[in-house]
Amino acid sequence: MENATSQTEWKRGSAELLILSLVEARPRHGYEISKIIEQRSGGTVRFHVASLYPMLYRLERRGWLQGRWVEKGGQRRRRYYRVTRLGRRVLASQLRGWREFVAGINRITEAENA
Amino acid sequence: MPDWKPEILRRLAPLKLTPAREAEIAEEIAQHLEDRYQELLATGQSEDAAFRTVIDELKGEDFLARSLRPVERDLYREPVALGKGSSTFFSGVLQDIRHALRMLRKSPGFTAIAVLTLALGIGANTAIFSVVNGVLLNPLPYPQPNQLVEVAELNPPFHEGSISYPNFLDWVQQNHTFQSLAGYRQNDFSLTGVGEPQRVKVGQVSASFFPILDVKPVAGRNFTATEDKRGAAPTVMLSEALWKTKFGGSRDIVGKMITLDGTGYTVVGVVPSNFYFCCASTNFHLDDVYTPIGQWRQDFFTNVKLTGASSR
Repeated sequence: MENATSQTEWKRGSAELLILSLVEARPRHGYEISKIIEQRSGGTVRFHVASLYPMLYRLERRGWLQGRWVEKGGQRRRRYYRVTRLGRRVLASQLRGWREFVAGINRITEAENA
Repeated sequence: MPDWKPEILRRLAPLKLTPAREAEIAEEIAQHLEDRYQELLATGQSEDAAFRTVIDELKGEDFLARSLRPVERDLYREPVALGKGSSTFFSGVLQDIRHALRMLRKSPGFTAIAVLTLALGIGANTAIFSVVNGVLLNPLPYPQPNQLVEVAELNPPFHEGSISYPNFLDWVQQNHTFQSLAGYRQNDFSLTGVGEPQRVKVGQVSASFFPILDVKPVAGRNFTATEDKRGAAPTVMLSEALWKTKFGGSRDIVGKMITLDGTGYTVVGVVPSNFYFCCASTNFHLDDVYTPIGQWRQDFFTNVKLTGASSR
């Protein structure tokens, strides 16, 4: 129970960073984003549909992402999200903060467990 | 293949989004659900189990709407139809105001012209209303009020000064502009000989005062020019209120003597109670008696105010 609560809080804090990271290299649609997060985290981080899309729309509204309907040959059209210039700046800032935070945590825990 | 859109649209309904926005969200999420459904089928789940799993991931009936509400609140809102109530009426008004302010800020030239136009319009309206209010809605309570003016002496630093009584007489004599000029001032006398002594207010007026304002006495007559002179026999007009309270409203009062400050005055008339001298600091409707100003012997050079000069 306690573990589940912690995960929820971590997800909430890192969701923007994860999504921006995944669309930085190339545009992706919502399902693809959720699958990559689940796979790369080994199933420990998952975004269900009811929380993923509100998050995507929020980032889009802030101007960090831009969504666009794309129709590829023979497939249903899908909405792809790409990071905007503003989104890249936010991502860089969040990554820097995240790395400093993790490094700080590591220094604390390593010192205690050494 | 399940039809996911009804499930999604039902959950979006509380948001009251525009049809276009609602359809867009439904299409995107339906694709996601279908992808997820196919993925579960590929893992060997039955159709029923896969369907239930996918629906469960929508987290109940209201989770999606609750998550979307803060994001979609200010965007894609269904416009309020005329005649249809809305619980968000004031938030819509605030949004309109913010939008208007942003637009005005973007176009300073247009804004300046609009503000100037409004200022001129409001100013012109105020000026016109002042005239309409004074002339049409609240005219002076006298016949032909448009012909009445208040006359004052410009005597710095006083812009509307009273004048001395001798000057008033000169003005009357040399007047070529107005039909008539009237002067007035206020005083206090002691009324004795009728019950308990009483301090009464006195309107000292020229003989022309009541005729200019077209005041018709309810009993007796107005002052004559002969009475409005030094040395003339003292005469007085009573206010209707004093006439009724002190003398019982008797018509016999005309021609009788009353005593003011120890001097006997002959009553010549009664001023109606509806007489109201509205346009000066002097409030004559409270006056108890009126005497001709020309009889005032104590200080011939006392100042008087002028009014009711009706134009030729």
